[in-house]
Amino acid sequence: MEIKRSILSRIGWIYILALLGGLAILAKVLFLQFVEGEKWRAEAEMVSQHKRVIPANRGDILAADGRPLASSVPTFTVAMDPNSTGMSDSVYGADISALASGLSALFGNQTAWSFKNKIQKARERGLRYIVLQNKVSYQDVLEVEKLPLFIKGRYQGGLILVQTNDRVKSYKLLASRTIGYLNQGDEGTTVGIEGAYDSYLKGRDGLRHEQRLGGGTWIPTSVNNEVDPQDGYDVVTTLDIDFQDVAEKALYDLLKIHNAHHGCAVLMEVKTGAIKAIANLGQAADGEYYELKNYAIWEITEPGSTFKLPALMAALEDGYVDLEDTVNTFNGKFDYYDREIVDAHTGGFGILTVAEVLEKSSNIGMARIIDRHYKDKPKRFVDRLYAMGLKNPMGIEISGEQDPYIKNTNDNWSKVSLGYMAHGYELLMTPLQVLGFYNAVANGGKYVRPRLVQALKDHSQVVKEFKPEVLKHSICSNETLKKARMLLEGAVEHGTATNLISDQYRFAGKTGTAVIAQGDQGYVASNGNKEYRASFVGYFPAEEPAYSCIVVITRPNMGVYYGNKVAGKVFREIADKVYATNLPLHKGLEVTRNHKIEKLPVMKSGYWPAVEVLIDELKLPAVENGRMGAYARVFTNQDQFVIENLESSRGIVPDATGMGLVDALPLIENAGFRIKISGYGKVINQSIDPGSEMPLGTVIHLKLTVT
Amino acid sequence: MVDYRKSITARIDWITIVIYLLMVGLGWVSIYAATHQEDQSFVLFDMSTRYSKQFVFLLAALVLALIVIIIDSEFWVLFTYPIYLGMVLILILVLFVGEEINGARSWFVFGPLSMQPAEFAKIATVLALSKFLSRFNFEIHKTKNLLLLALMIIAPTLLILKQNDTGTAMVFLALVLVLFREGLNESLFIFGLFSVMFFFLTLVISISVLIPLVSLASLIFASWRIRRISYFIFGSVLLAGIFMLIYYLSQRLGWELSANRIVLSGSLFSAPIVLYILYRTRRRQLQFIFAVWLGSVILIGSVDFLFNEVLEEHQRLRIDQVLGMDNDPLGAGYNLNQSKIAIGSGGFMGKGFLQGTQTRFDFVPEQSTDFIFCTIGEEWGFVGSTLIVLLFAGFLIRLIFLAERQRSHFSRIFGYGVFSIFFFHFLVNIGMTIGIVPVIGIPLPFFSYGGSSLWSFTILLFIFLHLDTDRFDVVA
Repeated sequence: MEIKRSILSRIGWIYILALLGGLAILAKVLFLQFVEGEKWRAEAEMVSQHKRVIPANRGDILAADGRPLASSVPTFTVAMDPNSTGMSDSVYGADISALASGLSALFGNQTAWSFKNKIQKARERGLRYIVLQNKVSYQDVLEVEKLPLFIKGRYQGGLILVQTNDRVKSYKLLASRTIGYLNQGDEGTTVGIEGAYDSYLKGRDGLRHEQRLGGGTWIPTSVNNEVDPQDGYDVVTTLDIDFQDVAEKALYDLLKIHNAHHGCAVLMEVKTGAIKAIANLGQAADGEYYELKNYAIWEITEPGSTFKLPALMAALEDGYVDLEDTVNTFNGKFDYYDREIVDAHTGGFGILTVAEVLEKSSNIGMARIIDRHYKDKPKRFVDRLYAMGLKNPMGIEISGEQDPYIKNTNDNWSKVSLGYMAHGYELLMTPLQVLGFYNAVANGGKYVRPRLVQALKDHSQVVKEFKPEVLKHSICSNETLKKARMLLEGAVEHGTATNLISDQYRFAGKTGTAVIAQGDQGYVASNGNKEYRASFVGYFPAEEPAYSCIVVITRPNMGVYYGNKVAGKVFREIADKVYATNLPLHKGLEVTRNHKIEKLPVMKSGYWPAVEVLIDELKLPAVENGRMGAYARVFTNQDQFVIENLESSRGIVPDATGMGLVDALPLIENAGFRIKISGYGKVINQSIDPGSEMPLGTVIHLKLTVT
Repeated sequence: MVDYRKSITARIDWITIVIYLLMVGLGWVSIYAATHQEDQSFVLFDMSTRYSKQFVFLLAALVLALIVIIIDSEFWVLFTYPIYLGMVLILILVLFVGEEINGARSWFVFGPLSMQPAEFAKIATVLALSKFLSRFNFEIHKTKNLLLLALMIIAPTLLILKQNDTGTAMVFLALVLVLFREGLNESLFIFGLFSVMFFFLTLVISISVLIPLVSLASLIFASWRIRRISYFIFGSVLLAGIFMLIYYLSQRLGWELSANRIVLSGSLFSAPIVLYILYRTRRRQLQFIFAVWLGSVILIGSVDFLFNEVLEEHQRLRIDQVLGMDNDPLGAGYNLNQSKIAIGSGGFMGKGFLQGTQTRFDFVPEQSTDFIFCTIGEEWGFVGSTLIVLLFAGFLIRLIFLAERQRSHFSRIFGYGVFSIFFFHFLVNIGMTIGIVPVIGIPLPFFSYGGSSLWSFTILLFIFLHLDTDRFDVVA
């Protein structure tokens, strides 16, 4: 009986054990679902729902004619999870070699063996993320997704794609420093238009509520975004690609010939202050030239002879001298207090008129004129310079400009200050500031602010237009201004720049050859030689100035350093190109045509203003159909042309048929695509039909008439 | 022959079979919920998805059940030892030619099929135990018998441990329950439970707190029993003195001793004194109390050593997670946390079939295998969880009932073996998904994905059901 009872109680214990186990589980489930239920439900919500930031597209930076200078192109990092949970040994083993050779064939920078080795090692080490290739284009990504193993996708194939938007400068070097960049290098430097207009370019990111589906995909919970992303505005610069190209090329060639240290060239529209070209090239360690710094805006130096114009204008304005007055410049050497001022002309100029002093750029002449008349009242000279607006910075949109330094009589002043300031020393200005003053002279005394940006656009809609800004309505009397213009024309025609005279058009300007100050050591470099800065600043055409331009070359070697020989040449090349391509500058024949056109000529679709100019100039019969846009589709209807707006928006393939490449290229690139071309002439066929919605960066193949 | 078969259908326990069919059916539905992909079409008879594979396994299991049910009981009794020895050999073989999956070298792979012999070793071991224990006039407390029993259980356990499949190895410990039913001294059994309790207490409470607490409790209890407060005061002062002395000495000698070490060594120093008291005293109660104190201290000390020196890193982490010592939802506690999110967010009625967000998005690793209970908890909520627990409890109680109605010792012991294994799997598997037991990778019978486990559980159950049909004939 004892044993039986013991056994019975044991059975009882086992029953109780089973029941207790079940109860413990139920109690804990109850606890989880009810006591802690809120917490776990919230966590479940969190991991299965999230808010995704939809990045806004960064706006493009466009040239004045709408061609892109900098735009965003999506690129991808191709990475792999070599230990993806869904990737079985057999699948991996079967496909890895084919994958490696596929990658090698596609990217070409590594052998198949090296790809395979890399993946194999990572798999053995249990890594979950290895980068196989950076900066892969969307086209190549489509190929990557078709490779063996990767075709099985993220889970089984381990393919990971990370998208980034790359900022691409369409014309590599072109004005690259001025276009600028964001957050580069260790310090995250931000320069140029990219930096100055970042708040407009970047747009505003959107938000979308998303819910998770199987296999790691997320879908939006509602059709509408919580916050729609707002694409950044396009910044339309004042830059002209063709002029920029010429300026850069001319500057580059010259720097190369003279093995100069660095140089810059700026071309500006006289009336508006719009900078049409800004080239900055500096010699790097490898001897080549790159856009290293924005010298034109940033570099502040003693301008030298180009400052003789404002100095002389001060004296003219005060009525102390007139152009016909004479001054003795002796034999080219002049003891000025404890210093000696020298003229470049061996043997000296002797007696010169005031006009000749400037035209021949006599240092002694300038020093003597200013010293004689302002010796007792130097403050008046300085005030006069200030009154002409020379003291103020230009306030260009992009950062980096240094304030000019025109010293005042209470600031480290000495008795030689007047004479030295008269020929451009003891004061500091940037090339752009010097250009600004000359531009004011060209512009009838009106000082306009130099500017790089003319408008902000939201897709094709102009949202903000920047009007020319006047810094000073008049820098001096008309009298003085007239004399100044005469002097500058004279300097080219019978002064220091006669070698630059063109028989096509007249221009005015001033050479400058400054000795570079070597810090505390005076003006002689450590190797015993003097170093020079050659400059030329002027405007053209002389009669009705349309453009002003400055060229500054620092440390040209090879023995030639005079402004006219070095900087003047670049000026001429730029001016020639601008003159040759700019119809309105020519005083052409007035054409009037009244006869009826027998047969309509062939006209391409293209840039709307260009089409309009053609129709106006040639007096062709045409009707505009609908609203005006950036690009026009042109076709003939009976005996007249019909012009329609050619719709173009990002991501939608535009219709480029019938266009020349000049128009088709920006049209398609502005829409966010890339182009492959075969042949030349007009576009007769494009590989993707107009109106199709395609991912940005897709390549569109254009077939032109003649192949 | 026809009559015999008829009698089998008449005598078989249909209640158990209905519960079995319900469980495998619900199990398959849960696996479908856990593994189907929205973008895939529904398939049944191919091996492309887990749920279709499991469907094939399920059909095979039913065929297996039919085969097992017609095998004569004599077969099992006769071939018990050859089966057991064969199984041990296979377990050794798998160590050399087996494939490693998820870190455990415990698989034989034949083309698309992989088999886990450890699952079938359970059946062999239960058979062997049954045969050994049911010998005529068997006395469990003979040393030789105890040693043989221990060997029988420990041999496969060690081999499976060697395969790195700790979870399955631990299942064999559940067979101690069978021994308990068959008359194993309860003090040994209670000692086992006590050890497990102290093991976890030691991990939760620092030794430097636990030992003084145990000592204090023993002293209070002892002085209360003998009604002398002076014993308590003397004892506490003595203990404190010893601890202080050790602390002082370690400072003098410049040893960097942790509080735990000081308390442990203090206890070791006091052990001779306690032993002396034990030797001198005549009071049984006092002897018992001091013996318990000594046992506790030794246990605590060895647990500390066991935990830090013997267990592996991931095992320590899993235990820490359950005890709440380490809250790391992205690391070792990831599975458990995700599992709790799934079950906890289910609520009363659950999120509905195929509506579980945790389940479908593969948040819980091993969702279709070891963590299948998450799917039920999330999609069917408290109602579904309760149903499963009730189903299991009913099943287990039915197993005890069936075992107890056996006249043959072999059948009864086999029944308890079946019960112990199912009970352990049920308690530990569901327990780990809700965080009352450390994460030990063993499947939930009839629910978790996998052919080997489904088949071995089916064979185990149906052998017993056949034995049950023979309950009126006396076998062995």
